[in-house]
Amino acid sequence: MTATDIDDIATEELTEFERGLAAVLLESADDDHVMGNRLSDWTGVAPTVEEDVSISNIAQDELGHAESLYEEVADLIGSSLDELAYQRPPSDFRNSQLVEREFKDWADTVVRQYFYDVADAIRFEELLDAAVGEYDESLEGYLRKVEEEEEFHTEHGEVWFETLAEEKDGKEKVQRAIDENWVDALAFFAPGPESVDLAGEDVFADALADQRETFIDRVSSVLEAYGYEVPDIEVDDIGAGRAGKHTDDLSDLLAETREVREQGIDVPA
Amino acid sequence: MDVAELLERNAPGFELDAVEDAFPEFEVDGTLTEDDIWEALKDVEDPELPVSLVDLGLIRDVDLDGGHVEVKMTLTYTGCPAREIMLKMVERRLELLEDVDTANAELDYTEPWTPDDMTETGREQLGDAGFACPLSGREE
Repeated sequence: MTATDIDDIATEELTEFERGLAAVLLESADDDHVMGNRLSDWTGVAPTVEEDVSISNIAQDELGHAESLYEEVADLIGSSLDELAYQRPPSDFRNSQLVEREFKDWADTVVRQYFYDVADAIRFEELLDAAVGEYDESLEGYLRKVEEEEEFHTEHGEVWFETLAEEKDGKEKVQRAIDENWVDALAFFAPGPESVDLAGEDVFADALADQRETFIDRVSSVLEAYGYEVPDIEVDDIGAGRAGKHTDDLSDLLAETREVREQGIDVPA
Repeated sequence: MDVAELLERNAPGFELDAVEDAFPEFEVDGTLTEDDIWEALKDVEDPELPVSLVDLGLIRDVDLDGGHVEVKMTLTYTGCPAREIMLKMVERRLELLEDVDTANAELDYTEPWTPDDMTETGREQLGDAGFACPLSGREE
């Protein structure tokens, strides 16, 4: 199963650059939508009250950004927030599998939230260093603002890496989560179903493979600083989520978000 | 609680069929100008703060063309849940003016919002409402 090509969702003629840009923004919206929902599972049951507030704030950021990113995509391709967020089948979602599985425990959450936010920050830097500003100044300003709003997300992850490294038990759990999520984190930087050369079209400043190396470098320095080991795994062809391959956890999550709508209750705005 | 009722209570003007007196009377002296539009928009408050969108610095541009007004506005936070409500309130407020037939409000992030964009009035109102305001007093 492959996610539907942007051209088949779009109602407007798109240039090659616009196809690429829309695809990246849709991946970003799907990632935020799914991650925001997942993280909100911790509201009220996080390890401390302060953490309840922090994790809920991060969840709210991701959901708010998902909403506005869907709007940006809708404007670009001629669609609507409603269609993009609520009417596509799970197999059309492009989110990475990193964000969709149910959280196993707190260590799994900390690691996945951190990996996701580092990768997400690289995606935004890569967009802003390319041609989006020449294409649309307002969109560039929007992306810059989202980037600023999420700066504290990675700090949040780092604090927990440090805290949990202090005890043997916590450190082992975090290391296990790092090992288990490494491949999914690298799969964040896999191409979607469109055959657009994203760096060639200047949607991204660098190719996805180079972005993956940036991710490994950035994450490694933090993990090593707190005494964690960086997994030594080489993987090819790991684009499952981006291409529309998902676990049942995604279908369950989306079904839950759609329950009210599917009962025919029209909720304005 | 009915959703429409909830919105009406928190965001006057959102429900388009709602009562006409959602906003105060606005007297235009002579021909309607863009200055009048800015003044009229001071009646639209952020649904979560007792400060107008104008004093928050969210209104970026106003363009009056015959009976049609185009408004460009931005948001303090891109994920703002009140986004749609505020756009609708702006349109509703302007369409209630005599001499305005249609109004359209759109988001624009060309110059992303910073606390510098608030007016002195906006800062005072935020302070009075008990919010810590990062830049209050800075321009003195």
